[in-house]
Amino acid sequence: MINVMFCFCSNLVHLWLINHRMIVIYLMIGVSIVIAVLFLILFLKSVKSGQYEDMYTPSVRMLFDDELIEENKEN
Amino acid sequence: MSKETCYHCGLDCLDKQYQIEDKCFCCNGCKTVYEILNQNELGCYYDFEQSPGSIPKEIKGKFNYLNNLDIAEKLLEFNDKETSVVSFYVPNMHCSSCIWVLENLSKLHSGIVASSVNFPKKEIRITFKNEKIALKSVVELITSIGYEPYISLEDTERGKHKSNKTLIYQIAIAGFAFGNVMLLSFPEYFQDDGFWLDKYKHLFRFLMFAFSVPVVVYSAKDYFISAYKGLKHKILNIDVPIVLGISVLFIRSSIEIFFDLGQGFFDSLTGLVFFLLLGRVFQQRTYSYLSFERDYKSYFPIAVTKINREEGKEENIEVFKVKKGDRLLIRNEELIPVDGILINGNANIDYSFVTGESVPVLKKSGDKLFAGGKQLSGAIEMDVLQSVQQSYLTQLWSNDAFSKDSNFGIKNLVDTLSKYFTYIILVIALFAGLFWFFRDENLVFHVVSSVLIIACPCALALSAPFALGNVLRVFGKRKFYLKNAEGIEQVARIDTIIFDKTGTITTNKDTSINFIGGELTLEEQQGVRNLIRSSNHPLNRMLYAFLPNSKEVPVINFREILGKGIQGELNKINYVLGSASFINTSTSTINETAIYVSINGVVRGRYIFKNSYRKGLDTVFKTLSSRYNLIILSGDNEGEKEYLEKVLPKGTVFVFNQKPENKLEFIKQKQAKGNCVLMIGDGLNDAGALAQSNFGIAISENTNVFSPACDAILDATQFDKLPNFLKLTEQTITIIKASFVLSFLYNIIGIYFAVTGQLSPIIAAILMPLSSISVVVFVTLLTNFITNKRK
Repeated sequence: MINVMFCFCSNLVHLWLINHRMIVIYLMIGVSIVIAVLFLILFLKSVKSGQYEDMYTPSVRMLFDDELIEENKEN
Repeated sequence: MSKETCYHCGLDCLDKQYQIEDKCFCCNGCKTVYEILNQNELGCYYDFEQSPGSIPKEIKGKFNYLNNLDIAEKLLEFNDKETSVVSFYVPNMHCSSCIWVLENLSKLHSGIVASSVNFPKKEIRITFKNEKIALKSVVELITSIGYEPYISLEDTERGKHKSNKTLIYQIAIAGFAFGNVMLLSFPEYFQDDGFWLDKYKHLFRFLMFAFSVPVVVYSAKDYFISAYKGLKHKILNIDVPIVLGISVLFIRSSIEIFFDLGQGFFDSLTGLVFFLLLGRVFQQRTYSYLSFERDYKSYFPIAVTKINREEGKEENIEVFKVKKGDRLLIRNEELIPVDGILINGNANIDYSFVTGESVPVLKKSGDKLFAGGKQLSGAIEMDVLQSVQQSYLTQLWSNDAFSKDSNFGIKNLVDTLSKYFTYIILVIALFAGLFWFFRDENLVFHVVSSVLIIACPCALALSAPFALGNVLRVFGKRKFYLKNAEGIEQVARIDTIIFDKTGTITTNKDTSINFIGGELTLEEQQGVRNLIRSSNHPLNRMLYAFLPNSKEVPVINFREILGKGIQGELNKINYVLGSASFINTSTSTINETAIYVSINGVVRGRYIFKNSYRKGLDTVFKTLSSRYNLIILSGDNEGEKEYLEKVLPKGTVFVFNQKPENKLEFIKQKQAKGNCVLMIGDGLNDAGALAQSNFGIAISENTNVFSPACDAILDATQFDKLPNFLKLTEQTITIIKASFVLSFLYNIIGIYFAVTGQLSPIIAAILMPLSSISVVVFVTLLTNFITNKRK
């Protein structure tokens, strides 16, 4: 019984979707474009902030912090 | 005896007097740095790398000028009474230990808030509290641990030019739009009509239009500007047909979607702009540690010490405020900023910045001193004869050669071609339009716009940037650094090569030393070596390294008179070394750097110092002479002419005794005769010639430190590869020409579709990227092939 009900319901949803898939497509395209634009803005911002200007020093710098803390503990 | 090396700088420890626990140091300076770092819990400095340090320099009084508020203000990037920010170039920075200690400066002094390092640029940016520490103390602090900042006149003008990121923004937007438009245009390529597509195509088309607007307006902006400038100068550059193509693409596509005629060519449009910009990025190669724009300002100090004669006081004044008649104090290791007359002190001046001559020159009181030299032994006083801009060397920069706008007037390969290209396209479009006007009026607009779209020389515009960019990269790896890719085209047209002598075809790394006079016995040579062991004079250091190894013998009655010579007694033999006047003999030749030797009162002869010629000089000249006119243009006298004529191939022209402005004039005359001149030089005295020549290469022993303004910098070790580099540039041009043929083939196919009225968006969408990508692959593979062949 439940099985039949479920089938019926899912068929209903399916039918609704076929008739209204327009909305879904609009929604999905809208959402995807908003997300894409968001990433573009984030990228432009990161360039502007100078993140890519020095690609070397941060890679060395990140290894340092530990040494300083260790040194502090010793003293 | 096992040699111990300095814990701080890695040099040999000669004696044991500087030791802390089990660590030995080569000098007091290194020991002091270790002590400073250890006291401030920065001992980790020595954990990252072995012996990372460098010997701190003696700086007493050197930075006094930073107390002058006007000067300090010019150096600061930011100052709000409480905190200040300042950036310095620190040439000594070389390893991770350096980064670590320089970023922990706040532990050394509580006044320093923060410091951060940009390692590729060798720059440090320090934020400090004005209350607690002055700018001068900051500089002295980092100097005291061995990182002396390099402060020059140029620093006062810095901070205005920031790196230009526009191209990255443009390509990001173009790439973003290209990807999205491609996706949105796909459905219509696969399905001609149908319920589903009819419903959504309006949305898709509108979105494509929306994505294309910023691409045309912002990303392609530079092409419009360049085409406009070209037209204004009556030059049909490559950007004209490109702009034509872009505009027609955009206008036709917009008309198609607004009148519901079709889907437009937005994918081709955005793709075209994206590929074009990609070519630009690829062509760009920046070496963060090199500068091609340097003039004398990069080497001259900001301030000098002026001696106020009435009050007998010293004061620091800006270099530009130095007037004729002022008396200046030049300390050890300081640069002489203006022409003047030596008043007193031992002038021993290193002109290697200016002439490339590595051997320092001795000057007597009353001699003329030229700007640009570096004082090496002790402090001197001098009277100013000329202000900075009017000095012998610096007035060179007022020449027109430095202000010429090099962008226009230079014909490059693509632009020469594009002139004809544009005309041909317009003619084809016109005839096709006329043909269809009689055949089928409705198709005229369609056909004409199609021709203009498909003829857009995207592949043509891409082949040169990719080929040149690739070669540029390979050259960079082989230590031949070009300012920009256009330079390669210039090199291929060269027919005359002019070399400077000193520092260019001679090296200033090793000096050849000859003894002239009666032979010295081995014992006597060892005596000389022992005598000069403790002398710090640069000539003596060179001679010490040259003489054969010997046992250490104590010297008695040792006496050194700065700037003149030394004397002493070894094994009961009396040695006197020094200038001719010091040992009471007459000089035979002028302009010669020599140490005279007198043993037991008898003048035995002299050691002559000469720059030796670079390795491979004769083969380089031999290879080049078959194709180029070779000229040697030197500021020196003709002393070396005989030797050079023997070594170098016949036909090489020698011109001696040339002043810097003579060199510039010489090149101008050559160019007036229709020659295309390549100048190879090194010092500031060649700067005018380098700027005037069609292509200027600066040879540099140390690319981090010195090179005048030029089009390319060649690492001195690669001098023998010069013919190879020149050959490669020629072959690259041939490859570019071949790629033009390829891209014309694509254009012909495209134009066939266009004039027959068959150009559909899908054909454009396939043909345009296909032609671009295949041309790019073609040139990249071929340039890789030729560069690999000529290692």
